[in-house]
Amino acid sequence: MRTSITREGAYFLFVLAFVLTGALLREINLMLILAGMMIGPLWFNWRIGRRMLREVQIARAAPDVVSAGETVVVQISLSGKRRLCAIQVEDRLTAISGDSAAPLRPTVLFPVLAAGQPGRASYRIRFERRGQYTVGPLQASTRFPLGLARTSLRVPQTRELLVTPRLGKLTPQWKRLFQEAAQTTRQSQRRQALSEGDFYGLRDWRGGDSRRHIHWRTSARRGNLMVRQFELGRHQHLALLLDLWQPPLADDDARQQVEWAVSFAATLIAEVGRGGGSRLLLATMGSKIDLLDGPASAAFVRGAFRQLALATTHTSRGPSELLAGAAARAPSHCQWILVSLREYPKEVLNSASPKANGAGSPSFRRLIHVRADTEQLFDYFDPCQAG
Amino acid sequence: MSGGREKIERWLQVNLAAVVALGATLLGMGQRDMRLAVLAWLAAAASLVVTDLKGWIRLNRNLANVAALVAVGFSVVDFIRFETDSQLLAIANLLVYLQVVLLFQEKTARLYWQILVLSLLQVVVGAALNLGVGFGALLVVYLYLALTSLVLMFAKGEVARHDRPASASEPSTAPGVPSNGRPPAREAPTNRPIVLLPAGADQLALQLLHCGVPGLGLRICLGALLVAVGVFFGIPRYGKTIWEPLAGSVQRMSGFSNTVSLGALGQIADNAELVMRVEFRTRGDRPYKIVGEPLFRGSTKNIYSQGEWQFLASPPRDSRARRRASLDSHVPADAEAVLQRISIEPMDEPVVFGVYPMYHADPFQLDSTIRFDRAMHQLIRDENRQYSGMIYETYTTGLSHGLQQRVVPNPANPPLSDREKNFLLQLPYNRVTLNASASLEEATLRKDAIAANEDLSGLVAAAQQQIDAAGIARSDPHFRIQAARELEQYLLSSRFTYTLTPQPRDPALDPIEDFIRNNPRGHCEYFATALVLMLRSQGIPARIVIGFKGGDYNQLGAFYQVRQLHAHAWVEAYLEPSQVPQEERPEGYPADMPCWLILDPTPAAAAASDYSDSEWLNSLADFGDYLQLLWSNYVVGLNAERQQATIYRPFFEVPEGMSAYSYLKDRLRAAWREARAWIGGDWFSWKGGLAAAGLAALVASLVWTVRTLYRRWPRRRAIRKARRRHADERIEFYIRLENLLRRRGVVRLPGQTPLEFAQQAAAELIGFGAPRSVTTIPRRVVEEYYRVRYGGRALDRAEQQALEQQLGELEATLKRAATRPV
Repeated sequence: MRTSITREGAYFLFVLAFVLTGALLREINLMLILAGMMIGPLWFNWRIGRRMLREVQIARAAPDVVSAGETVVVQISLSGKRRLCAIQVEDRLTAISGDSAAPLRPTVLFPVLAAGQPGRASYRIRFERRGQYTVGPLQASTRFPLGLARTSLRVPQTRELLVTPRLGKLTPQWKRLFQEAAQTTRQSQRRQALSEGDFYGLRDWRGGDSRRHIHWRTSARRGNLMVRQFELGRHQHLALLLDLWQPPLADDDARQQVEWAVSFAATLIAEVGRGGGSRLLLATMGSKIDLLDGPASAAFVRGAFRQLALATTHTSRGPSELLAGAAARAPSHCQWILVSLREYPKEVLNSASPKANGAGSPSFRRLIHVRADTEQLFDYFDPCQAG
Repeated sequence: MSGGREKIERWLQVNLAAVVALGATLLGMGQRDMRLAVLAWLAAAASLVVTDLKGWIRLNRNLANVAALVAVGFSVVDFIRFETDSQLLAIANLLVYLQVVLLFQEKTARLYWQILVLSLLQVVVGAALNLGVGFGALLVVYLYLALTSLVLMFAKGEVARHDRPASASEPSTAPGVPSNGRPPAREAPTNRPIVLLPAGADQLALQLLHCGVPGLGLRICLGALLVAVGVFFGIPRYGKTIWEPLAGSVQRMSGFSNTVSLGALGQIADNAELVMRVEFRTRGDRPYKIVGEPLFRGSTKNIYSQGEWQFLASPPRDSRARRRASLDSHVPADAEAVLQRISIEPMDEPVVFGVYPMYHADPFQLDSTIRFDRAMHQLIRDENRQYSGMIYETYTTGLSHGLQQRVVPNPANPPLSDREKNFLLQLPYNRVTLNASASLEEATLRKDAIAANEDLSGLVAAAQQQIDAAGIARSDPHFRIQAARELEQYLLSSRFTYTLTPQPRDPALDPIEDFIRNNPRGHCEYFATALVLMLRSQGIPARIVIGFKGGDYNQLGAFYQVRQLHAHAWVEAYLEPSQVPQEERPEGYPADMPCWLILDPTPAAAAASDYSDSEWLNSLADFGDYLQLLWSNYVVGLNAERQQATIYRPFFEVPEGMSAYSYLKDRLRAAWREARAWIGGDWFSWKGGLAAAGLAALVASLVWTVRTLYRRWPRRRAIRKARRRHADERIEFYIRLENLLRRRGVVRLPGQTPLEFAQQAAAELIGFGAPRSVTTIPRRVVEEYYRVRYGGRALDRAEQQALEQQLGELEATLKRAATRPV
């Protein structure tokens, strides 16, 4: 607990010093009494503040994860053994990653609380920027009753709050593009990799069928070649690559483009993850490359949101790093989507494809490349739905 | 602005107006000029109406600056015009002018502070100029009002600080996101907290007022007074003197004057202004009671001419150093020594007063503050303490067995020289040329010449006639004392009348000759002059003495309050050692010491008192006077010595060979004895004490009852209201909603509408993490309540069940929230 003099208190102290000095130098007894009368209020302001804050209990109720653009209500509760008057509680929100801005200090005021009676007050906050924040510590303070001194008590009650990227809306154009790409992928699967599906039945051998799929026992029994038939998966696997490259001297526009790229990726994950049944890979390249894969589920979405919330930018990594890293973990026959803020030369995509994946691995030739640094992004994505 | 904020604002404005008026009053009291205080009162009252309440006049900043410049101009003129000492007054006036300008501006937090600081500075100046206990009493009131203003200013500031974020509207779209989805934003989005107040700013203000501003102000005021007492007595003083106010606040001596002019007496009869307070104490520091009215001697005059007395100093016999000497500190062993403690107000005369003969009680103090002027036979202040109020203590042997001695020795001075005696024998006719070598005998023989002169023939004849009629022989060794008393009795006879009314005098005659011969009516100076001249006509050296007689005796504090109207003149006749009768010789003094015979020829009708016939009024006046004495002695007059004597020494200086515990025990016992002696005095009556105690208990119980009723009234009203509400079953669902939420600390505030309450509850429920389906329940319930309560619509069974279900859901959510760890 500490006490400091307020600005008004400093004025008061100045006048007090003037009166006291005059009284002592000239030995003016009435002025000395006046000085004594001025010392009293200062002392009482200090004492009342400390007495009130001596045994207060402060708690905060806030969610752990919020979405950027979403308004969060944070509730502060306060109680004390004594009657509390004009207690101000200040919370502190400090960005841990991605934002070096000064911490926010929302405050709430408890005008009067009877002894032992708990009181609640709320503040709401809308985080415009994704990232990880430290909430706290809480600081209760009061200038009661005269506003000359401020007594404050710091409660080291901190927790982390994750602000996930803002969600937007995918446009119909995107949906069309994605469906077409998915259709192409399926056809390719059908031609190349039937074994990848579930066993469906047997049929006569046709030209072009793989010899690996001949069911020799049935063929011998029936006297003609029979092949196993597989059912293709209804779910579309997806590998989403996010390259958060940013030029070395990035301006506000460039930073905003990064945020939209992240928002687009988050919206895509939310859309696909909702369906279930698919396998998903999220690869982000910032200061480091993060990979997350797994079946589409709420848990995957949470993890992906966390990864996207904490994703940082880079200025020097080469495109092939991301492709190589992602290809090693990507599910087979998945739809590749690359979201980047720079151009990816075709030769890079071509060269990365076969070597990275080996036989039967997917090719980047059917990859959907979305350039977030151009207006192409807004053909596929509407960020206005956020919030 | 409305509601709570307005209440605070109005209260603050009224309070601050009172602070302004009181601050200026305290300054006016110090200046002894209330004109500016009246200006401040008027300005405070007018600004309250026309600026604060009605808003008719609100000086803009430019106009206010011009007005302030004009005020500064006025004060600069005053500053140049005034003398150095009084320049502080010009600065003080400036404070009032500036305050008046500020009062007529629209009040902001900064302006309130400026007004308060200016007022405080006025009080500071007032404190430097004032010495009265009334100032102290008003200072306490001022402290209370100023503290209440501070509390209100704090409340206003808190409301303003927390009102600001709430007024910021929440943006409809997130900053940084383009509205049409296409053009990229130029600004990076920033986080922005929005504080949700549990109630509006007015509610906040009302709740802050519930902290109890008047009671809080009173408690802090009392505490601040205690601190002030501690600081005041605890801070060590280093000086021997006490603060002397500026010359402007020194009162002019109207009763006592260093020159006596018959017929030109000041307005002493009407002037009850205090001159000094005198306490007589025994050596054991107990009150010493005196029978009759003591004569407090000031200065003496030795030369009379045409109705005027002057002092003509004889050529110095000694060096200047000897002319102003210290009093003797050795009281004769056999003499009864009485301590006189005199607290004198600031005066424009250097002479100080007391019962003679005097001896040092505190040589250190007397050496530094007052000295005995041997040439003029009077006690005077040091040059640098000329006009200041002061406290001095001396012993006197002029009192014996409660009576003032009429024959007093003159130990401070050596016997009078012949030349000095000649001075005391002079009649008016030869005032210009006085032969320094004239002997006493020569002077005595001149009485014949006086008679021939006819200037004072009537006076001389009357004196002679009285002496002759009394048959007092000049050869008698006690001739002087007998003749003097005979002449004193003559003037005290019914032939002469005391009056303060100016009398017509024959311009052809000396006023004193006219007094004796034609119009025997006059004030004390006529009587004293007549006696001096009569004595001189009989060859008895005499002089007129000016000082004060008696005073208002304060039973409570056992001291005299001597006022201007107690100014008096009397006579001292010189007695050679051989002329002092043995039975009247002062005890403890050598037989060869000459004495002075004190004679007071003024009839007793001169005694005047401002005491009322009402006993309780007198008691009240005594109490006020006693307070003033304590104030003067222990507050205004607390210097290093007094602090040492009254505070440090009794508590911290343990005598050798005594343990601190024993010493403290002794001190406490002594204090208890003192208290018992004080209580056992005449002023105290057990019946009166019981009655006062009963009255105090009655007042206390009345205050308690009123306070309790005041506190309980709103609660009872609320309970009755709640009962009425409960009685109406139609709205039971709403009452249930309130109860449910109250259990979780969500309380509907006074003045909050149900809809506002529902909004607040929704915000709280979001904080509890309740789903949206639950957060909307309060609003839905309130809407139903409005329909029932104000729309006169009854709920059907299905609606009632739906409400019950919703309230059940709310209850379950609240219970879950209660059990969930935060």
